[in-house]
Amino acid sequence: MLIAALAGSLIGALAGLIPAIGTFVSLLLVYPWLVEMSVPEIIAFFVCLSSVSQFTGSVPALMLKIPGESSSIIAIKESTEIQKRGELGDAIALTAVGSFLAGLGAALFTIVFIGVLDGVSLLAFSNTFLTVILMGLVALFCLNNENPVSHNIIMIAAGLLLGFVGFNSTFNTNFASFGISELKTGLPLYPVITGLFVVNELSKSNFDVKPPEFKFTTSLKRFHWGSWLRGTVLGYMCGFLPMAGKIIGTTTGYAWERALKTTSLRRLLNAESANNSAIISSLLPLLLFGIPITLGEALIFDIVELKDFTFTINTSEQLFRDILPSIILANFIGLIIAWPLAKQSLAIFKLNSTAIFVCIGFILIVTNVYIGSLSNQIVYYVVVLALSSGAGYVLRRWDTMPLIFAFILNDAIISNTYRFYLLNF
Amino acid sequence: MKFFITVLTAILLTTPVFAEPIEMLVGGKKGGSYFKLVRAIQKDIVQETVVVDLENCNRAVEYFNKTDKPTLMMWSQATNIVEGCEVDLDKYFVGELFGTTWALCGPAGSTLEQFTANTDKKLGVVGYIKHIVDGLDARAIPYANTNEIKQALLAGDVDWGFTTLQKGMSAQAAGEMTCVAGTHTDETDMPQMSKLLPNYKYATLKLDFYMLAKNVNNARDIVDTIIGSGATTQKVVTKGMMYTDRSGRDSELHAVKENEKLWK
Repeated sequence: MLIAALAGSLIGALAGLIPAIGTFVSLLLVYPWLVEMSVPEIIAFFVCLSSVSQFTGSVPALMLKIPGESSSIIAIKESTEIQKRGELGDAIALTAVGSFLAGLGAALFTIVFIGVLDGVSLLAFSNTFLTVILMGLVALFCLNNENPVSHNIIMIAAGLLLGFVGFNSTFNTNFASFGISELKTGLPLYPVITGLFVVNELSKSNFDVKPPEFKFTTSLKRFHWGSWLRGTVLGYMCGFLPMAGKIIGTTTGYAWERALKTTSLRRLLNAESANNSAIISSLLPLLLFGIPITLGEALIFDIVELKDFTFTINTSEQLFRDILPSIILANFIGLIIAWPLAKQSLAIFKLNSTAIFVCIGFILIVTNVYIGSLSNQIVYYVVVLALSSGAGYVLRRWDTMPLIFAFILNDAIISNTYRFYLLNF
Repeated sequence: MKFFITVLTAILLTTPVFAEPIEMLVGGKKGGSYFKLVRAIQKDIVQETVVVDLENCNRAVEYFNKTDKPTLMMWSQATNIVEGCEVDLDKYFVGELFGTTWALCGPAGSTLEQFTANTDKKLGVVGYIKHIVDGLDARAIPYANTNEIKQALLAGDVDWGFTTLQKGMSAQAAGEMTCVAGTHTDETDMPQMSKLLPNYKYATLKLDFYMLAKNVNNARDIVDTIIGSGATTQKVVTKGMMYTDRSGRDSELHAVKENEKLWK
């Protein structure tokens, strides 16, 4: 567990710093290792990765205007004003400490109240509830994305179709396998995601920047408890919202601070606290009901399912207790990297971007071959990787996240919708 | 010379025989139940074995038919009925391993009278046996596994569930549901489905896991070793299955084939 937590934290630190290598891509890079981990280790790894990436994501956002994480938009927005006022040192300190306290606060709140959620567990097993949630996720993906809605609909349809290839246990028959035994196993998750998501993301990232000078400070005089509490509570509540919960929490908190006419530093403190608090609450639908509400969680859900483990209200409390020390550790690591080591962490931007991307590409190819070899399907994996990488590059002007979401959750979406039809019509 | 012979004898006695390892094929997803059962069995086999993970039954059958190596493959009615996965049982069947029986369960306090009186009831079943609703005045609602069926029953989505006997018994003990009949209930006090629903075609349904072998001379001995061994037994208990009566290869094969007729 400790190794999983440390590894998750360190990889999370890099994920937050390097643009295009977010939580999801990081999970893909260590996929073969994740498959071998126990369920508590997987969850600990994931939550540490997500938490620390929120800490370090703010550093390039504030200093370089590079969104290390998708939720760093407020930091970028406020960075101009903060840099102009010479408050970069304060901003770094407040962001790190606010995130630290928010992450710990959210974790402790969860451990106290997770047991009282028993009453809602039956609701989550209901087909109507699951179908509504999944359809809500689909709708959110259609509306809340950088693509036009029509493109998102096409993406989701394509993801569902790709996920439908192979033997389907709900319908007990093969789809689109054309008598090819490899296709009957379905399109393999890993090469499809590598090609359609990672290649797509890498082909549109920009890495060439120069960090500004700033003065490190240990002073927390400008820390405002009110702004912190507003951000933490709002972030925790919004974390339950599927897919965009983190960003909604961040932006709503920011809007609240603006309405209160507070300073740039307080707006930033609110938004960054909301991020880290949302990381914890967004995990709860998965732990309690087995409902993944982010892309990373969908991947985790898929891996855990392979292990014959079912998330239920009965397993969630113990699982959360098991990972609590890891969450605390991750928050300490995040605090150190994003505050006293903030300047040093930006050394990564001195590296050659091409070399980094070639290195990532190499790791992904080797990982694909390795995973393919486990099921004696190396050629199949390589062919699927080549085809999906080509498609990922062609689609580089589009965000392929809706496609990947529909592909991963294909079975849950199709089988629940089919059952909804059988039960109600 | 004596020294030389002693050394040679010592080497021969301490060196393992370099026999070709037995390949154990897995026709299911890595990490799934099928995979784990084969891994458990592998631990109980004395000979050197290598697991070949082939992801689904189609690839496993293809491999099994082509290979010239010593090969074992755990199989069941659930795989043998899938299109393209049929194996010549007369030729390759070695012996039964373990099996699962089924129970008809409803919300806590349910009775068989309620079941028979209720027409157009929603019955939760595992997807690959949804045809068992024929003759029950019920609508099949397919689920991926018996856990999902139990949850659907508790959530009130389905009126009844066709689940494994062990799953039904443990849920009944926890006061979560009541099972009104089972397909093979000799070791329990649950009523026999075949007596309560005499006209129901699937009242004796069972899922048998059995071993197939190719180019393995002592395959039956291997199966005898597996039965009751540590790792396999642990997995059999965890999965809520039970060892089946072992009455000799031919009668076991006959029982498996007869039961398979109920799976189509």
